[in-house]
Amino acid sequence: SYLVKGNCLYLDGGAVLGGVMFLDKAKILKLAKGFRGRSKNCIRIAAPRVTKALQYATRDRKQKKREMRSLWITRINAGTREHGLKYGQFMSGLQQENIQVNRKVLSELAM
Amino acid sequence: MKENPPKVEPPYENDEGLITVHHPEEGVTLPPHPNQIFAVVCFKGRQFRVVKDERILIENVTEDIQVGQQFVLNDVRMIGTYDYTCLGRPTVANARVFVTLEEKPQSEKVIIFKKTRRQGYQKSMGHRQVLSMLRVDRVEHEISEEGMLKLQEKGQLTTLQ
Repeated sequence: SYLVKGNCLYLDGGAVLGGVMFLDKAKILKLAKGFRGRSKNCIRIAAPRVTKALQYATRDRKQKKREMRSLWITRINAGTREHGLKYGQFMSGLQQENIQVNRKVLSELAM
Repeated sequence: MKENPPKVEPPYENDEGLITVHHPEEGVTLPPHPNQIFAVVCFKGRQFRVVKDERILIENVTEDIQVGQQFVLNDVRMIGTYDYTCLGRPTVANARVFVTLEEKPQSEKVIIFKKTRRQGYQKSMGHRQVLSMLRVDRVEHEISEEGMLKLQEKGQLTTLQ
């Protein structure tokens, strides 16, 4: 059994699990919604998984911008190939004409 | 090492743009119906495709503008209607979007959590961004029949076959 006191998890025998938790138990379990199996219900399993999830979220907020641009390029490519052009030819044509509509909007127009 | 080719300045800038007419047999109704015109507007480095009564959510506008105040966005990259499409190089002249600042909500809280394992380093921070909700009131493109004919003479008007 364990006791959550302040921000620490105290186990039987005086050990403290995993260092200091920056959130209390209820908030950790709230962030663990949708996790698999006991990771969403049991604090000892949820806590390390939640910290990993938050690290991934922080990293992926930057990666999301890269992934979205890649998705837009795929969509523009598909749209231009329907009309006989490839993405590279299309974009170089736009550059020559100094048309500065960005890829996000171009992908919306293509869909 | 290969050098990049010298950058060539385009000969035109911020002029009327390239117009493509969709149905040359039907012609073009001018001025276009206010509900049937869209604009690609650039604001604060981001571009949005807007129609009338659409809402834009962006990071905070300057503090000079009060809630409920209407202002104009002049950086329009593209205009499209049922009859024609106008691509700006890079912006379309005589096109503007009227926008009202509706409210200034805060975004959902985002937790920034950094950790290096086995080194005792971990920190956590919360952040709520102040956003601005803009509502598009009107999209305007001032072009007349004489303007269209002038563009045809210059060679900037094309039609879809």
